Amino acid sequence: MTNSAQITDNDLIRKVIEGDTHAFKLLVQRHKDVSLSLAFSILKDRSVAQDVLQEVFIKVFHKLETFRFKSAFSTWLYRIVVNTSYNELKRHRGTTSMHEYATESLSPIVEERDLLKEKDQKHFINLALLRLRADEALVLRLFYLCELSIKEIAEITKFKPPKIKVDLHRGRENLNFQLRQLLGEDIKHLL
Amino acid sequence: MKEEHIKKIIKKSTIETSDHFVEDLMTAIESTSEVRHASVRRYFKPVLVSCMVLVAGLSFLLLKSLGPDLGVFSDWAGAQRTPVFVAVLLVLLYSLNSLIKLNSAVAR
Repeated sequence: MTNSAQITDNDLIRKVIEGDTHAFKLLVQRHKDVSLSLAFSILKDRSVAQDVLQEVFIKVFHKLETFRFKSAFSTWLYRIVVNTSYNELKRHRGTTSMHEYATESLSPIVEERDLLKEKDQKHFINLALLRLRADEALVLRLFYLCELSIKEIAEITKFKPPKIKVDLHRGRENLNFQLRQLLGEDIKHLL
Repeated sequence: MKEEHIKKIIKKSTIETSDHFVEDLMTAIESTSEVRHASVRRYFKPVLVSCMVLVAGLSFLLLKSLGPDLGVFSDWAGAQRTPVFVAVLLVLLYSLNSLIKLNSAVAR
């Protein structure tokens, strides 16, 4: 039996186009968490980001035939995630501010900072990322989490490479500042 | 903070979807596919019938206009009827083929 981890994204896409919905499930399993993290960088709200992600995957399922196999599937998917998230952000700007999203989403456990287990580490890191500008958090995640180049990030976000470099620089500085604010000396437990 | 530290930190920032995310998504996909399929199926028959009626009407008019005493197409009066039938038949088959292709593409 073939291990699903050995099957490439392109093979899975071909199977989906032939009508295999289980292959699409595998594709979703493979990319859902990173995609959600990218959407969350922009929207700053987990449930809104998850709704957007569902919308994105439905769109992807119906448009998969238009995928030309010229770029990686992940690049194509992340582009749709980023576009849909920014569109959603524009729609929400009139109703809820990003600050409100930030305080709603992650404030209840800020006090528990003495226990820096893996789960808590993740919590504080996300809280720090939440306090960054959407563009900075997104670029940081695309660069370090997805390990994409500046050129690939430019393709996905439509940002100019100089802006990406500035966002990366500021993002690193601001993340460091926010983590120090949140954790003080405990920051060393993250490293 | 060093770059490798930032990388290590960001790698820990992945957010997981809820447990039922994939199941909910697959259900949503199934329902959207059903809606799309049903809407095409609903329109398939009326479109097919209208195409047939249209083609039949056009053939009738064309054949009538090819009659010996009709002035508008009197120049065509001498034309043979068999090529006209073949042309009409081809148009009809082409329309049918397009509709079948459309139906199977959306149903997939």
